[in-house]
Amino acid sequence: MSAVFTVSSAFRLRLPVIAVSALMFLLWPLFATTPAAAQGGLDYRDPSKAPPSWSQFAKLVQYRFETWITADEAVANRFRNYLTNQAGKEDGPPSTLTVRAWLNPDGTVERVSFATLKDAGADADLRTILTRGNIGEAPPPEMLQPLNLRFSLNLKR
Amino acid sequence: MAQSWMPVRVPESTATRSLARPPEPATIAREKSSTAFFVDDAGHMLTARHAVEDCTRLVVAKEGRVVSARTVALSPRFDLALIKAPKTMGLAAVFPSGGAAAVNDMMFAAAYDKLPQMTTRGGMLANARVTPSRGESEAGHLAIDSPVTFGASGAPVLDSRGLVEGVISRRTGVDRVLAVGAGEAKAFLSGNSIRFAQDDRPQIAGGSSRANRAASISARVTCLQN
Repeated sequence: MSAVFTVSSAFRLRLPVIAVSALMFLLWPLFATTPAAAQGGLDYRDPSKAPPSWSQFAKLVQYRFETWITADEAVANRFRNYLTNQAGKEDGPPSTLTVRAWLNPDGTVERVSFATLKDAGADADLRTILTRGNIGEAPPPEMLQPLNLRFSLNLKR
Repeated sequence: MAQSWMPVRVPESTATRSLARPPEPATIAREKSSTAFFVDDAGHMLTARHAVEDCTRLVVAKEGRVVSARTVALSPRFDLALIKAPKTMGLAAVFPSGGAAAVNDMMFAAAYDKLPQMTTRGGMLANARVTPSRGESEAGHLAIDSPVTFGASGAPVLDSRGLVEGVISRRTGVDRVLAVGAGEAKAFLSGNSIRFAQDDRPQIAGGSSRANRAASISARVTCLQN
């Protein structure tokens, strides 16, 4: 059963010429079912009623993904270059991207899934980036997974 | 005699030349390292006042990332300081909204530099215990039995819920440590218009490592002095 939570924050990817800012929304595992949500095939939980340990862990996942994507290393640099070079083009990346993430009990990212970016290399790079590290804490055992994270990319010159 | 836990190191070569930032001091005579932790999503951090007083420059380091920071405010009454980094690296701490910790409550506190070895060994639930206060002279403080040593000044004292119950200040005896209490820390933050989080609900799952949460909210702060 998939579920949703939402948290949002903004971060900026620093590039030499073009700054890429992205909004990331965390869509959380949900618990209580609402009729509207059930019609859409998802169970939604009121974020204000979610355990704080869930929201804290989700914030940490958000921070780690931000850190990994903005890291100054080859794969992350290549992925950001792809975003800046292809954004807005017909075959470019979508304006928003939902990433589903499964976390292991030791804090590592077991796997992620997302709609294709229409570029196999970019798909592989993003998957590598988001599964390469440890979140730093164990996910709350009772927290439903996957976490659904929606990225909204905004390009700024 | 009270003792702080900031190692003081004199670099082998004190004659350094700044290549990119002329305003920075040409000579760093001393540096001292301590611990600070984030208290909001804007990069504000709480630490011990004695850790950041009289610094020419402050540097915050966490997980390989190093940024400059500045002192925002020093508490005139307690060993507290508010500093600001460009952004929050990790999580912001959450303080208890209710009453203070009770004697014999188990706590966790450690210098930032000690946390990696604790987390890689599977984490740690607690390494300190609340002890009775010694009277009016310790008002506003939380006394704990704790093995913290150098570099722990300014470290958060975490309870079983992952809430910050104090800020490590100084040693008053063998394994007896005083931390500024959460109430005083919150008042200091409020007095400086910092919007911090407070909650009495657990911020970590039961049985989760408090060492890992400490690592998520903390960083090393280095004070460079002429």
